[in-house]
Amino acid sequence: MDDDLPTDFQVIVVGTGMVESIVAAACSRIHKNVLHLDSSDHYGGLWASYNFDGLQKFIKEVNSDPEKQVQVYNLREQWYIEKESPSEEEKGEAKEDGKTEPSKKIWSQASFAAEYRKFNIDMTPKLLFSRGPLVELLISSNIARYAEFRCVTRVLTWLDDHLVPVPCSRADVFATEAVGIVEKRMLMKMLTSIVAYNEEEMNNEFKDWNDKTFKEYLTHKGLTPNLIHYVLFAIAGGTDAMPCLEGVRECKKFLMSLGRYGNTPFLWPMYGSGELPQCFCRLCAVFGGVYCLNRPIDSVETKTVEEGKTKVVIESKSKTLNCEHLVIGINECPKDLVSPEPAETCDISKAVFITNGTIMKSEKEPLTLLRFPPLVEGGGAVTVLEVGPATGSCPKGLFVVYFITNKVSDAETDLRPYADKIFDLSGGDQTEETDKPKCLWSLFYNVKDTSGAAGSAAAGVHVCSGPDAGLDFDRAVEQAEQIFKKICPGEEFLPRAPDPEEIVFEDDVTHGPEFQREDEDADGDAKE
Amino acid sequence: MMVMVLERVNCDQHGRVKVRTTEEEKARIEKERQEKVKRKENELDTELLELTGKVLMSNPDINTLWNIRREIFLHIRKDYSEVELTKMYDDELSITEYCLKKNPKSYCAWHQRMWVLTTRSDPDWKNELDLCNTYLKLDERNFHTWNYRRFVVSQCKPPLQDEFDYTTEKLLDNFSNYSAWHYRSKMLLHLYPDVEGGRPIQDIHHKHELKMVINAAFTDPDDTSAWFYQRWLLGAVKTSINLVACAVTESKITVAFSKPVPLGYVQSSTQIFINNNVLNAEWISCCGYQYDSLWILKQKVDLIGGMDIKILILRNNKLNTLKGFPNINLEKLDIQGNDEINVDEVEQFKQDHKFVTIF
Repeated sequence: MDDDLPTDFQVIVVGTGMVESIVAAACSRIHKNVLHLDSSDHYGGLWASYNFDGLQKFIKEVNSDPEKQVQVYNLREQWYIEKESPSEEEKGEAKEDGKTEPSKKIWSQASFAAEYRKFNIDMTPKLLFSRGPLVELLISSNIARYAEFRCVTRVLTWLDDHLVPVPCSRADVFATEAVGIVEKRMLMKMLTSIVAYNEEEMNNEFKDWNDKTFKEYLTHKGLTPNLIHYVLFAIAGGTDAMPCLEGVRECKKFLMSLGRYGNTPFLWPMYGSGELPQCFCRLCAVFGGVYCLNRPIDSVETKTVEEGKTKVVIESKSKTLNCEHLVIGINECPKDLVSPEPAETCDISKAVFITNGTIMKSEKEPLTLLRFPPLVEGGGAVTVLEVGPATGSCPKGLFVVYFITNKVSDAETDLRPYADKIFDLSGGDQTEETDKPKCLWSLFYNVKDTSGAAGSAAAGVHVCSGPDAGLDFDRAVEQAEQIFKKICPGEEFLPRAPDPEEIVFEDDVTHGPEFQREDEDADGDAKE
Repeated sequence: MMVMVLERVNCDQHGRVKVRTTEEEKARIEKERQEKVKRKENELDTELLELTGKVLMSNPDINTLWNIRREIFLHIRKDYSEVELTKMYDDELSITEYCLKKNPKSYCAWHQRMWVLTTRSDPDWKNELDLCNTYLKLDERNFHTWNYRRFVVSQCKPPLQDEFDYTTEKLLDNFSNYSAWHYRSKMLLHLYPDVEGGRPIQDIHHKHELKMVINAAFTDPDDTSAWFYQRWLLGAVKTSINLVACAVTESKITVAFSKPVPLGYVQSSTQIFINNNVLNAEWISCCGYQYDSLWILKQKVDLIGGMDIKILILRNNKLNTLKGFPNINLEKLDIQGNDEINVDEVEQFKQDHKFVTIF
C-alpha cells in the first residue's frame, strides 16, 4: 500500500485541523501538488467532532497516553444516570405514565451507547458570525455547498440570578417587554453609534476613551444597569475590565452580522464544528490533493538545495517524503521546529454536558448562545452553547451544552459553579418535573493554549496554531491566509470553485450524431 | 428553525457563461416571433401553450403572453375532461410559481395565478395560503404577496384571529412593514369593531396597538411605517356630531353641539314645535362664525308656562323627539297634560347627554 504513495510534493500538510485544512484547500485550488496527512484515524485533530463511541475512545486514549496529556489534560467524565435501563416491569410503568407525559424518556448509559451514532460532540465548538470572514470565505470559495448551517435562535445572559434573553436585534428591542421604552431608545442609540464607529476616522465618538474601560463608557452614556449588562456581557462578551475600544469592536462585529440569516448574528454548522475542516479537505481532494490518515510522521528535516531554495524531508513509516513547503499543526510538530512560545498563554477550560431538556423553554427547538458574566471576582466570562437534536448533535430529547472559559485553576473548578446555576446535577429521577434540565453526563477538560501565533524556526516549514478560546473561527481563517500568502505569494486565496454542472469539458462541445430510433427497433427485432 | 444552505445566497451573482445567455435570448426572440405568427392564424392550441410557457419562464413579465395563455385556456377547456383540465391548471400554477421565484414582484404572474384559481372548479386555497407563508418568509415586505394573501383569505376565509396573529408574528420579525400594519388595521376593524364609542376599534385593543407604535417609535423613530399606522389609529376616530346641550329660556333657545357645525346642519337637524306648531325662526351663531358649536334661536314668541315644547333632533342620522325638554323648568311649563314625560327618564337623559342647566 505504502508503495502507492508518491514521494514528491510541492506542499505537504500534516494535521487536519482548521488552519491546516484551509491552507491545504487553498494550495490545491491553485493546482499545487498537495499531500495531506494526519496521525489519527479521523479528520480535525483537536477541532474534531466525535460520536459518543468515538468520544469514549478519545477519552481512553488521552488517559492512557501521557504524551497526549500535554494538549488535553484534567479530563473528568461523569455519569448521572444508571448503567442499564430500568427492568421491563418498570419500563411498563413508565409507559403507562408516558401516556399522560410522553415527552420524558428515561435514559441510561446503555441507551446512550445504543444511540451513539446520533451524537456529534465537538471538541472545539465554535460559531460563525454571519458576516464574519469564514462565512464570506465559504461563499466566495463555493465551499459552502459542502456544509449546512442553522441559525442560533437566541442569545441569553445571566442577570439577577436568572436566565434572560438579550434583546440584540432591532426586532428583539421592539418585541421585548423586559426593558422600558426609554431604555429601548437608549439601547438603540448606543447600538447605532457603535455600528457607525470607524477606526480610521480620527474624530469619532470614542476617540477620548482609549485608556478607559467599556463599562465606564456605557455608564457615562447613562445606560441603566440592565442595559450595561446586555451590551457588555452578552453582546460584547466582555468583562468589567474590557477596554472601551475592544468592546466597541466586539459589539460592532456582533451587530454587523445581524439580520443576514436570522435574528441573531450566529450560524452553527450542522453535525458540529468538526464538519468545517472536512469541507476544506474535500475541496482539496477534488482538486487533486492526496489524503492519508493514520499516518504519523517520524522526523522532519530541512535542506537547502540551491541558492534560496529549501527542501523539507519527512520520514514517515520508513518512507521519505519530499516537499517545498511543509504546513504542520503545532501539536504534530517536532519541538525544535517551533520558535519559542510566546510568554503569555492562557489555557482553556472546557466542559460538555448532555441534558434532558433545554435550559430555557421555547416554542421551537432553540439553539442558544449564553454568555455568563464572571460570577467570581477575577474570573473570566463563560461562554455556553446549547445545541439540540435538530443540529444533528444528539438524539431526540437530549441537548448538548458546551462551556468554554479561560483557565483559572482547572476545568471542573472553573466551570462547575456555572453549570450548577442552569442544570440539576444531582442525578435522580429523570421524569421529575424540575425548573432546570437534568444533567445526564458531563465531561470537564483543559486544553493547552496553542493559539498564540506559532512561529516556525525553519524555512519552508509553516506551523499552524491550535484552537483558541474565542467564539468564532476568525483567527484560524486569518492565519491560514497568512500561511498561504507565504507559500504562494501573489496568488489568489481560494477563488470560487465551479459547480460540477458549470464545468464544460472540451470534448463535450461537438455532439455526436443523433440517436437513431429505427436502429433500436431494428435491434429489438433482431433479438426477438 | 430553517436549515440554511449558504451557497444559495450567491447563486444569482454568478451567472452562467455569457455566451449561453445570449443564445437563450436569441432562441427566446425567435420563439416569440413564431408565436406572433401563430396567434394571427388563431391557432390556440396546447403547442402554443407550451411555447409561451417556455418564454415566460425566462421572462415572466410579458403580459401579452399571459393573455394568450388565458385565451387558450378559455378556448380549449370544453375539449378536455375534468381530470385533464385539473392537470393543466396545476401545471399553470407550477409555471406561475416558477416565474414568481424568478421575479417575486411580477404583476402578471400573480394575476395569472389569481385567474387560474378563480377559473378552475377545484381551487386549493389552503395550498395558496401556504405559498404566501413561504414567500413572505423569503421577503416579508413584498406587497404583491400581501395583496395576494388578502385575495386568498377573502376566498378561503380562515379564522381572522389566525391572520391577525400572523401579522403580529411578522411585525415582531421586522416592524418596518407597511403591508403588515395595513393588513392588521383591516383585521382589527373586523375583529374588534367599536360599535359604541368614537374609536375605530375597541378601547383595550386600541391602547394595545398604540403601545406597539410607541415601542416601534422608541426603537427606531426614523422608521415611518409605525408612525403611519399611528396616524390611522388616531385619525380614524369617529367624531359623530351630537347635540350635547339645549337650553330654553323665556327669550331664546340655545343648542350646543359636540363640534362646530354650519348653519345648514342646525337647520336640517333641529326642529322645534310649540303646541305642535313648527317654530320658524332664525338660528344665529353665538360667535358669528360660519361653523359654530353654539347656536341661538331668535324667536318672536315668548315662551311661557303651559306651552307644549317639543324639539326634534337628528342624532346618529336618526330623528329623535325630545319632549318636555329637561332644561325647561318643569313647573313653568305645563307638562302635566303630557303623559309621555317621565321625570326619571328625563334625569337619565340629562346624565347621558350632559345637559347643562341654564336656569
